[in-house]
Amino acid sequence: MENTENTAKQPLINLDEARELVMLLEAGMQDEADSRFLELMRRCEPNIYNEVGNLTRDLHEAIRSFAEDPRLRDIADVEIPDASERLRYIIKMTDKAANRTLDAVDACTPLVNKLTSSIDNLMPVWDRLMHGRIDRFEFVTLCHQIDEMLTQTKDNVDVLSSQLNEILMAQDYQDLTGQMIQKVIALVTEVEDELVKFLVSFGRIEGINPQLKSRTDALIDEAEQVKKSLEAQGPATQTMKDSGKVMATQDDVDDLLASLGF
Amino acid sequence: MNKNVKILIVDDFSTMRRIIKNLLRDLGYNNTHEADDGSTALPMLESGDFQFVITDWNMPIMQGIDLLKAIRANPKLRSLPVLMVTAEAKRDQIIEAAKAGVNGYIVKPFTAATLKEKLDKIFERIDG
Repeated sequence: MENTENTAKQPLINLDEARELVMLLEAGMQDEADSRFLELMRRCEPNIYNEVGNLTRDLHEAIRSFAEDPRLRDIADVEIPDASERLRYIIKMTDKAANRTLDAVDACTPLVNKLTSSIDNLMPVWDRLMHGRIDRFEFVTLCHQIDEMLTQTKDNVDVLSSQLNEILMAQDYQDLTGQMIQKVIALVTEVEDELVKFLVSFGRIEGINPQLKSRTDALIDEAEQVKKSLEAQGPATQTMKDSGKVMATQDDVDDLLASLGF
Repeated sequence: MNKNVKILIVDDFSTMRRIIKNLLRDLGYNNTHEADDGSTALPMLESGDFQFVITDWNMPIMQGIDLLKAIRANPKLRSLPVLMVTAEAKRDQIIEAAKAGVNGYIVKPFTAATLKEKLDKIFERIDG
């Protein structure tokens, strides 16, 4: 009556219980008193014990399922090494493409320089011809010079054209490495997703952190999207070619198609 | 083959589309158009009078193999020649493409000579 709040809330200890404790202590029964006291305490905070129990169980479960997930084992054993090989291959391809392009530029530069210097050589006499101030001897020499330049330029233009083609073809690395990078991104996303899932299952104790939850859902969606668009294999790595399931060259492809009646 | 043949190039990487377009131009084929995946290519094929398709396999939304199957399933497009230019080189995939009715299969990275050879071969058959 004097403390309505406490009666509503259920008192932590009542008079009978207090008396019982005093009685036990007065009788010198220390052990019984202690265990009675612990019992009363436990009644006050039953959740702590349950929570600690749940937490331990959930953590154990999360670690176990994380460690035993066959997909994760596959990622660690096969896909991470595979991704590393892809990344190394990307370095090699971009290096090759850059060198192919630079080699082509190196091959073209002297030809362009030669053309410029031939024109510079001819220009003064040509100017005089255009202004009608040229003698017969100079005219004949000019004709020979122009003839030589035309022949040379014709050859050089063929070289320039084939080198431009070389530069064009070198750019195929962008498509091929792009496909490989997409594969690696899909793997990184999946690993990230697994880690977040681990955190979420561990974080269940306090209820899922809503921010983490929406981030996980977004990641799972993203991973599925990427996976969907990547059902195809992309460019083959050397390991895949060595396995024999993948055709290593255009000739192998042609042979296979020929065997199918193409 | 008539060099004015109307060709659709389907690839999600614009660099590869440019490369193929340039190579075709070098070979004298100037009437080329582009699409970035099967789902954009199909309506173009249905509404335009394309005579040849060069397609990649691995593309978002609609892959090249599905585009090929859709073309073969469409009475209006059924006989349209399709050349696949792709990095997909698994035996099973090549067999699948052959079964779906592909007219030629080029594995990336490829050379200008390979493209010319396959195009000539396909056109020869059509003309013959």
